[in-house]
Amino acid sequence: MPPPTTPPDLTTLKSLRNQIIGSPSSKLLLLRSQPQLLPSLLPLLSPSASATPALRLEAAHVLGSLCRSGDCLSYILSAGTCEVLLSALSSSLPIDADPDASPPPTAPPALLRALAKSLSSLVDLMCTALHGTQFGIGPPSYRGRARSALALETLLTLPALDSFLPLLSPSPATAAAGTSIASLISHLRTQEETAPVLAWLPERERVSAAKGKRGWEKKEEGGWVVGRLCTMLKGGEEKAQIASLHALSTLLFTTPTLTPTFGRFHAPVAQRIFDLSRARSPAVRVAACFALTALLCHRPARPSSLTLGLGALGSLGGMGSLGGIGGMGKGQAGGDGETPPPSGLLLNVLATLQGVVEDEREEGELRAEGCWCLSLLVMDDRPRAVHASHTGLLRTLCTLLRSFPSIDPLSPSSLDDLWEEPLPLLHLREACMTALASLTLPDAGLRSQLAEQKPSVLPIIHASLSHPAPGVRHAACQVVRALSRSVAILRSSLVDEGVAVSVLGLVVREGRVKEEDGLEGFGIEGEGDGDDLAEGDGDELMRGEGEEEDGREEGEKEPRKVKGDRRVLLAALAALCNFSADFSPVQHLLPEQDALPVLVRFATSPSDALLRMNGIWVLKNLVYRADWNLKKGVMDLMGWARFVELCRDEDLRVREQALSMVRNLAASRDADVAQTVRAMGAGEIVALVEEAMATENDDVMMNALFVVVNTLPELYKSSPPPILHQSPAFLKALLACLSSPAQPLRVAAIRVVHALLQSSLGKQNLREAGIERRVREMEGLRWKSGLTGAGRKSMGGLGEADGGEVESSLEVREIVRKVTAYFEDA
Amino acid sequence: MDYLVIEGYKEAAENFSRESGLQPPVELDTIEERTLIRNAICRGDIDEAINRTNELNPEVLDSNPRLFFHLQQQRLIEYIRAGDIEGAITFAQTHLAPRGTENPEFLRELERTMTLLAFDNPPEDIAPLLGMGQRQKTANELNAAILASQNQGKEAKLAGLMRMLTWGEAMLDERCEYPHVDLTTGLLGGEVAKAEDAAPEG
Repeated sequence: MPPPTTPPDLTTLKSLRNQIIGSPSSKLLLLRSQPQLLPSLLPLLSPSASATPALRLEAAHVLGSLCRSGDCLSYILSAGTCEVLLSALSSSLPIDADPDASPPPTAPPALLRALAKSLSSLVDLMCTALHGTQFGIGPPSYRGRARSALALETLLTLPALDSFLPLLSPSPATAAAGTSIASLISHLRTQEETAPVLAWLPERERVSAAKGKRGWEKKEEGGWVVGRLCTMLKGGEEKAQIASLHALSTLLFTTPTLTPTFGRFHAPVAQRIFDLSRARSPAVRVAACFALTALLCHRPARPSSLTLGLGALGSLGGMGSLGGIGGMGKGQAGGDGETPPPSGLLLNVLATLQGVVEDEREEGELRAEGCWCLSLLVMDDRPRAVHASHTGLLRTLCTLLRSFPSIDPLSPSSLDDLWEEPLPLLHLREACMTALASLTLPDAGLRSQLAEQKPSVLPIIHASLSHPAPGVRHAACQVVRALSRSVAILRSSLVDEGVAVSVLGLVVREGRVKEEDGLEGFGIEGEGDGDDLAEGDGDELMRGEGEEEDGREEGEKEPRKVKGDRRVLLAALAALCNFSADFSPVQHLLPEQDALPVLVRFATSPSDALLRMNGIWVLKNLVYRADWNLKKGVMDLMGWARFVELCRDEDLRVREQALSMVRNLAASRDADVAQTVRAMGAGEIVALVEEAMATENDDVMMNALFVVVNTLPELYKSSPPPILHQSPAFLKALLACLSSPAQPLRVAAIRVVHALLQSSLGKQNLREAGIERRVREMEGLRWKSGLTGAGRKSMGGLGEADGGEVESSLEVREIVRKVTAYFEDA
Repeated sequence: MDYLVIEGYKEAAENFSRESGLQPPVELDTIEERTLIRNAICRGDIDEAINRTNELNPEVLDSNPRLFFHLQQQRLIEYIRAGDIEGAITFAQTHLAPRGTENPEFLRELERTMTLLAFDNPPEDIAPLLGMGQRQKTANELNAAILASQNQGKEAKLAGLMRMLTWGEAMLDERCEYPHVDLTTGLLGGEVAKAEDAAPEG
């Protein structure tokens, strides 16, 4: 087809539409071969003398189809499509109309729907480019991020919101478009993105709000958009229900303060969502469960406020006697405390989702959605995880895992089958294992139950580490990471199964791609943000161990090679952390299998902070209690100068791990301490500590304080000796740490005080800095008994350590006692 | 109404709507469109079916890669059926191979279809691809997708009710005796007998 020089006519547009629908490659080819297409197409979207409604509709259809392909995103955004769509929608709405009064739009409903759908699809692409896919790791997408961020910023400005949010109005003429706008809202991910939507008001209401109110008018809680989404739920249209349920769950997940309004103003809507979780359509049931999960996850923490704030939810049909969503109280933190009884709402969501996941006749994508929702529900919440297991979730997920086609990493035909697995099956594999990881991570008992399943699922999880799909490998790493948190499981089941070797192999293979070749995965910092309309697709391949390119017989099929993926690499490194710890019987594998150079390369990666953090975490664990030869081997590879740079890394997570590694290097033996101090330099260590204390980050400060504890006697042997104990900034930070609500930080701080006094350093300085007084406060229970609850809080949270933590720890009490003795010693 | 809409009886649905005063769940014109699309596939005119589907709702094929692949596969089969080997190969290269690249799950099915080119009398396992049953299968899949896009079920609720009735009767048969429903007349077993008794002998 020749490139159009004039605006395309209706026949051309229809032909284009039929050419690209269903074919992402045709879409990309079209935009590449016809750079003038979008500039000539976009003006047709807005009303003009030459653009008939039919022409506008067809142009919107063509654009809508293009907006479904992530490969086209850069082309679409660089043509200014977002702005044109907003303008086209704006000009289709009546001027100065009140959306609540069901105004007649100036454009036909089909055109409005097509424009709104295009905008929604475009926002989906932009949010995916910015944040990755909503569930699962998805295909790597790091192209178009910068342009997407800019376009999204524009989209969330008031004038832009004015052009599409009114379509949520209850008018029948805009109903279909409203569904697309609800979908658009569901694509947003962060509170920064949803806040402008929540705060938006129709122009007329903005004017009256600006004039001021008398105070007695009925106020719609949650905002206008939430109100309209709730209204959409009341209708019987399934697609509208699904879209508004997903939009509501997005708003609830990103804005926890919205939850209480569903116990008050929107209580009938909460009941409606509950009813929809029992709807005939499984897609509606799952969407309702997402919204209910958001309510469950963001219920207010205090039981007293729950009774008040979510009382109405507590009386929902079928769950009133069980306390509604307010059933969760203590024990939530994941301790070993007694698990409170489950709420009726929780049991309802669990039963609904398990029903969908177990139903083999259901579509794979929907079952996967059910798994993702379950994963969100139990993530980082021990009581909910335990309840879910009691209702059979662990069994359900293990049964599902066993139902997947088997994986034999050593069989070429099996691998061929895996390459050709349908996407829904891949998504279901990934979702199922991620849900298993979320379920077992918070509770050791659940981890044991998973490890002891009969027939065992460990071989399936192990084999999944070799699956060609990155999402499946990633999810398998997550399960291994969760299981390896239990020392007993790590030392028995995982080692027996040979998982450690596979994880290590995965780390080495995934990381074999040179950084400049471009690791797959999004979020790589630095060069190549990917907004260029580059032709190459960067599909460098990762060659597996033993795979030789040469020597293949002529005509023999070239084996498909698994691509490296940064996200899998990060997950594998996280799993490897536990295998590299001193309690791991396979710790020796790391140096034996030549993994150290690779790990050091990750730890010093200049462009990827997450890779640096995970790499150094593994090495930190490896050198803990290791002999000096191993420590020296690691440091020779890394270089002390580069290591010091890591201790100053601008990313505080990296800095925390690097300082923790200093602790581990300067531990175990006096000689190790001396070697470390000599290699780094006493002055450098002191400077690092002072810089760390200035960050005011609890984890960084705690590790820095332990560096002082470990190195202190040696530190002051240098010439000239450092004057850390005289540094007012350090002493001030130390005092603050002694009053910190974080127990580990208080422990670190008191040990520093002890170490200083033990070395006869700075007693006077500590006194003058108020540290002696603070230590005496910590000494006994008399302070606590003399304070009310409010008084304890003013002590920086120490009061919350009642009955445990610092004061109840014999070791700490002993240190406090010794410190006091040192102060009293003349 | 649900049965008439889903099964594509537009005229009957119109009359039923008029006489009963029931509002049809979809625009009745779309029933005719769906019938035309189904007929196009059944006579092997896949291009026509795709164009009509895109006209009806452009999202149906754009959001369903498997369905789109099956339609393209059917087009390839029609080329092969017509003996246009060159056309078949060109079509497979330009339209089907990219689908395989985008979704490797389609590769095996594509290879299986391409095997048809190698045989004058295809072996039993691939011969059904050239049969009318394959066209019917593709037509049913597209019909179901269009119905889903219109918030309609894949099959009429009546069919589900009939299955449930049959299942319920089979369960009851194991426990007690009772008058069965005669599905051909819609009457209970006893009523059928009475009706037969009452009928005048000729």
